[in-house]
Amino acid sequence: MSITLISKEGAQFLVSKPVADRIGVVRDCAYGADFWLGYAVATDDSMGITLANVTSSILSKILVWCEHYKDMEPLVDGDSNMEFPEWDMAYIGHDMNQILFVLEAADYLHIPGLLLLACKGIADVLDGRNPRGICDLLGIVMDFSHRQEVDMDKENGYWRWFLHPT
Amino acid sequence: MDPFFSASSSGFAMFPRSGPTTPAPPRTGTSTDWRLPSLPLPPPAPRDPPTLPPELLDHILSFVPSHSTLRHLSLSSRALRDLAHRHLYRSLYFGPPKKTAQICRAILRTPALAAHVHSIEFALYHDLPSMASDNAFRTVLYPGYMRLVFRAFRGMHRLKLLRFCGQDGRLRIFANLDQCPFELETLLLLTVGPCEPDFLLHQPRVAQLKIAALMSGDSVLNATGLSSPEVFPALRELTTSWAVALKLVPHRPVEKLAVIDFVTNAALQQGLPLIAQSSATSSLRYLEITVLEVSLELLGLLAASLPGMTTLVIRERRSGTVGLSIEAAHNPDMVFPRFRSLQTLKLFKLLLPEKLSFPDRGWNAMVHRMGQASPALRCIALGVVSAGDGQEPYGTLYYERRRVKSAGSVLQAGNILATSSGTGNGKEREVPDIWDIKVRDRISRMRVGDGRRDEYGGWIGAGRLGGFRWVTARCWPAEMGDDGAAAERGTVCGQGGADGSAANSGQAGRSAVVKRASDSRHAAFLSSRRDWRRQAHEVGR
Repeated sequence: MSITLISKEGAQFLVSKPVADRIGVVRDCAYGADFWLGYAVATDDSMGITLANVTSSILSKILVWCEHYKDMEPLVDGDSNMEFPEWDMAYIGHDMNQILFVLEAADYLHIPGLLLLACKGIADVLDGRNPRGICDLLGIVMDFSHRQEVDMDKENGYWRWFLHPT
Repeated sequence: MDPFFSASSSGFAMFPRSGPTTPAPPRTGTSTDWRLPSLPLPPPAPRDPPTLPPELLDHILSFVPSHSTLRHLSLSSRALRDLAHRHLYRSLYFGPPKKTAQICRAILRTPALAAHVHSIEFALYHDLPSMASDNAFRTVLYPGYMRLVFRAFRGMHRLKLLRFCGQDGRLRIFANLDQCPFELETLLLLTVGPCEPDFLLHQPRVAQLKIAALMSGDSVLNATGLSSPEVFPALRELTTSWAVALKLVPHRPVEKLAVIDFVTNAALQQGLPLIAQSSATSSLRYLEITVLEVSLELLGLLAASLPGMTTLVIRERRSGTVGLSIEAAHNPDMVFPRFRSLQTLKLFKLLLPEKLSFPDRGWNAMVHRMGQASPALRCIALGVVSAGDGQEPYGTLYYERRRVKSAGSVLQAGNILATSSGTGNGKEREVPDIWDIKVRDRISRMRVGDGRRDEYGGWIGAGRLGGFRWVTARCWPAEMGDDGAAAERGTVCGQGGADGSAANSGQAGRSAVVKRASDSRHAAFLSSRRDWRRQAHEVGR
C-alpha cells in the first residue's frame, strides 16, 4: 500500500504506509477517513494528498526522517536534559533557516517527534548568542533600544544567581 | 515520456525515486490528454524565515540549556521576554542574602513573575552560622530580610517543591510560612534546625517528604498532632529516621520508605507491625534500611511483615561477615524466607570485609537458594563498599535471572524436557535457575579476558564494554551439572536468532553467553564448547 503526497509546488512523492504513518495529517486523511466514510480516500489511487504549506525540499527532508523512523519509535517528550541520538542531531544540522521551515512543517503535518527534534536543533543554534543575534536568527524585530537593554540588564543583575552553585 | 514532471528536471530530489505507478484515468468525453505536459519547475523562491507562534517558541525555550541564553532571549523582544521569564523563574536558588533580596524585589516589582516559580532551593549556609550568633544581625537586619522573602513567597501560589538546607539556629525560618498560598508536593528538609510544626500541618498535598536531619526529626517527633491522619494525607515517599517513620507511615499511603539512621533488630521487630499499617493500595513497596547484620531471621521477619514489597535495600554495618552467603547456602536445613512479590534485593556492606574474594563463590549458591525461595525475584545486587546516601556502591555484583526470547525449551529441575525452535510467541521468559552476573568493577581482582569455571557450576568471564569494564558471568546450580550447560545451549538454540545478536550467527555446537550490559549496549561472548573453561572472547561493541 502506498500513498501519493503532493507538495506546494505540485511535486508528487510516493511513500509507503509505514513512512506515511509517521505523518499525523496524512495518517488522518488516508486512514482516518476510513472510519467516517467507509472507505479510505487516498489509498492506492493517484489522487494524492495535497500538502499546500510544505515545499518540496522540506517535504523530501521530512520524508527522510519518516523513512528512518518507520520501524522505530522516535522520542516524543523531553526537555533540555534529553539526549537525542547522533543520527537525529546530524539530520537536523545547524542551518537555522532550514530548521525553522522543518519546524513549521512538522507542526503543520503533526509530527511530534520531528517537532521535538527541530526545537532541540533551534535551541542548540541559539545557545550562546547575544540578543541581536537571536533576533536575526529567529526573524524577530528587536523592540528594545540599546538603552533599554542596558537598563534591563542592570536591573536584572541577579541572573547569574539562578544558577545552582553545584 | 512520463506525463508527470520528473524529479531530475525539477532540481530537487523525489523521494522515493519511483514515481506513481498508476496514472490518473483520462477525463471522459475528451479525446485529448488533459494533463499538463512536463515542464521544469522554477527554482523555489527564497522565503523569509517563518514567524513562529508563541507555543512553538515556548517549546523551543524549554530546550535552551543555559540561563545566559535565556537571559539574552528575554532581552531581545517583548514577546520573547515573557516566554523566557517562564523558564528563568521556574526554579530559583535562594542562597546569599544580598542576591536573594534582589530576586525578591524583582518579584515584588512584577508580581506576575511569582506565578512562574515552581521550585525553590533555600540554602542558609551562606554566612549564616556567623550571622545567627551576631546579635545585631538577628535583631535588626534579619527580620527585614525575612519579611522581604516571605512577601515574595506570598505570591507564589504555584510553588510545588521546597528544599531547605543549611542551619536555622534560632532564626525561625518557618515562622510565617503557614500563611503562604502554595500547596507543596515535595518538601525536603536537609539539616534544618527545629521547625515550626504549624507549617507542616498546613501542607495537605505533600507526596514526597525528606527529613534528613535528626534535629528537625526530633522537632517533628515531638510535634503534637502529627500522628493524626489529617496531616500529610497524601504522603507517598518518605525519607527520614526510623522513629519519625513509625509516626508518619501508619494510616498514610506511603509506598516508599528510606530510613536514614541505623536500626537495631529489636527496634525493627517492634516497628515493622506499625510500618505494615501503611494505607497505600499496594502497601509498602520499597524499603531501605541500615542494620547491623543481615541474617535469615531478619529477612524472614521482613518477608512476613511486608508481603507486598517489591524492592528491598539493606545496608549492613558489620564488616567481615559472609555468614548469610556461605553458611546458609550450603546448609540444607536452613530455610530461606519466601518473599511473595519481591523483585529486587540489594545487599550492601558499609565496610569491606577482610577476606572476601569478589565475586564470592558462596554468593552464587546463596543467590540460587534465594531465587528458589522467592519466585518473583529477578535481580539481586551485592555490593561490598557502599557509597552511602542512596548511591549504588562501586563494585556491585548484579545477578539477574536469565531472560530468553521466544523460548522453545522447557526447563524443569535442571533438565530439558522439550526443545522446539522458533515456536515461541516472542515474549521474554525467565529461566528460573540460570542467573546472569554483571559487575561494573573497580575493585575486582579479575583481569579482562579471564575466564574460569567455579566449583558451583558457574562460568566466569570478563570483557570490556563501552569504556567501562564489566565482568560478566553466568551461573546455575551445582546439581544441574553439565546439564546446565546443555540447558543453556538448548535455550540459546531455541531462540532461533530472535536475539538478533552476534551470538546467534550460526555457531553450531557452541554455547553463547549474551549479556545486556547497559540499556542500549549488548555484548556477545562466545565460548567454545571444548575450551570454555579457559577462554572468554572479548567482543567490542
